[in-house]
Amino acid sequence: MHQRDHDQIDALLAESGLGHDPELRVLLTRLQDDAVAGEPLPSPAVARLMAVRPSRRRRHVVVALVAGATVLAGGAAAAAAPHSPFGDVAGGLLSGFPPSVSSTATPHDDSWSATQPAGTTPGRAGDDHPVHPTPPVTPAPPQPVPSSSARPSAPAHPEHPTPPPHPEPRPTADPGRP
Amino acid sequence: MGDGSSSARTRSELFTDVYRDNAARVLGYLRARGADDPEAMTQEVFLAFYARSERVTGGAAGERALLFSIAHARLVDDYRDRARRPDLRPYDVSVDTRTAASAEDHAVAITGERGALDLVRALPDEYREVIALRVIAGLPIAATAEIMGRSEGAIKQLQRRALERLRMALHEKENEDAPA
Repeated sequence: MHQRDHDQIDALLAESGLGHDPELRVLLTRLQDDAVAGEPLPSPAVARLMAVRPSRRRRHVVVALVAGATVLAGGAAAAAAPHSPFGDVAGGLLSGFPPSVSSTATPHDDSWSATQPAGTTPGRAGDDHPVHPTPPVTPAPPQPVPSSSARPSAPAHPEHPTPPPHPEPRPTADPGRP
Repeated sequence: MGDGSSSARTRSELFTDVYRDNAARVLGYLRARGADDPEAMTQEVFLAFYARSERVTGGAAGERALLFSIAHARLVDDYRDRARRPDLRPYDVSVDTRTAASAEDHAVAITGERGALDLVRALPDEYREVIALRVIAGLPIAATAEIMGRSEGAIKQLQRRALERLRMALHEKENEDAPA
């Protein structure tokens, strides 16, 4: 804008036969630059007639959409979790029965493997929720075998203890003897 | 505002653009012409412009011409009001010019805004008007002639005399401020 105005000053001086006066040109340029330097703030009456900038309007719409989506997502997540610990505890207290705390996270997950680094838990790909590290799983100590007749190849499972071996019948006295 | 290409835009959006493009110029014009309260008068000019904005033709040039014709009319009213009533106002230190200028003031006065505005304000009223409309408002000769109620040839003569007078005043000021 300023270059166009300065060209207009040159034209004005040339029209008046004063194009050779640099001091006058500098004076008019300064006069013009200073005059158009600062935009006055609109008064309240003028500001009411002015349009809200589109970018600001769009920003408000985006904020409202994000807030609405957040609320909806929170409600859907709450509805999709039927066995939340809070609900179980609260329901148990209200019904008078001892609360049965359960969780959607199953302690035995088939996807867990020994190759997984310690301190991590299996999760879905793209899961944004923070994963609480679990203590490294240590193998259960082998159960003592009560007798040598137990099969050594059978794995010792803590939840399914091996039944005690059937005792062999003790040989009785010789029937032929009195 | 009569630009056919901008028919899809609302009146408020166009008014906003007109304000952003021209508010500083209107304020500068009113200052150069010695308005009593240039900031308040600038706002009045834009309010009056909004009331007539739907009938403007000629795009941005037409909008600017209407703005400055309103500003010119407001100035004339302001001069008449001031001529009718005595100028009574409380003492204000900031507008009291009875001080001795320092050496720095001299240097700023030659090259700065105050010097340029002072020189323009010292011109006769018609010269001052034509310089303000052509230089500060940036209006062409035709619009200037329409606002001042003169022919284009008369405006060309007037601006030439105004510029010659301004040049003389500038050289006189430089000679006064030059060290002996």
